[in-house]
Amino acid sequence: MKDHKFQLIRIGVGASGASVRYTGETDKSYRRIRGIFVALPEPILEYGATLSLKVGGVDVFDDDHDVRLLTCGQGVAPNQKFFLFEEYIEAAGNAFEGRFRDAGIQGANYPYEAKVFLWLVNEQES
Amino acid sequence: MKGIRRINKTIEVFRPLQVVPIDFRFPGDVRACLGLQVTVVGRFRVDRPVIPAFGEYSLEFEGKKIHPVNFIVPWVSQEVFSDATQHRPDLLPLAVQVGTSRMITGFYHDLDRQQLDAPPRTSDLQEEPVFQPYSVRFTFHCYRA
Repeated sequence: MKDHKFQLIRIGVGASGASVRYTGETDKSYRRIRGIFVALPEPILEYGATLSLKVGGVDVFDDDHDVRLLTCGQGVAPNQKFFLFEEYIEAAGNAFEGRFRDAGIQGANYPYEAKVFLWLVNEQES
Repeated sequence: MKGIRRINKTIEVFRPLQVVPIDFRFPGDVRACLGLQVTVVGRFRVDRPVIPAFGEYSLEFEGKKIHPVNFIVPWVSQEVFSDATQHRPDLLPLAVQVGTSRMITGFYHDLDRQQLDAPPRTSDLQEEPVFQPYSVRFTFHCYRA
């Protein structure tokens, strides 16, 4: 029985200050997006980086949403890394789109890959 | 569409001890604000990884009728991993009903910690610390109708 899936979205960031659009679809075998976690290769990149997210045409995070609110350090246990959605966000093959903006911090290395993880579950709406 | 909407408001701070007014309106579909996260966005040369009271803010809702929050904003270094720095900023619960006005007013006050927490000068030849402009991002978690 498939109850959990951690779907990875890879976002390539080529240069300082880049703004990268990403799109995709959630895995149709899972009903709900339970949480999100953003991993950047260097903690320095977290200063001021933003991520927007729209699922099924509905805004989940505005353009200016700070990655700092969606990430955490390496010492946090995997099941506690995720920002959990209080609302019911339907997965089930729903299209998602968004934009990742690099803040252009001096001293960071480019290019790099931002990884966005969606925690998909099969639980019913409560 | 019903659900939760997260609304971001970013202000810029250019001077030490600056007081930045906050004055904006929630979108028309917002019915309540359930909580708030506030982060300082900037990288500073200071001599500790966490400054618990980097700035302070005050917010009023509904055209100053409701005044639910006076609080401090910490600054956390992303480059130093420790128990104090590895968690994301928590949600400050507010549970404020938003009526017809939808006005949010208030201020953010810089507490000049860049100067006060600057690394000690080791010689007279070393430059005086220069204030680094920064942003403060308010993320309101709201219910929408």
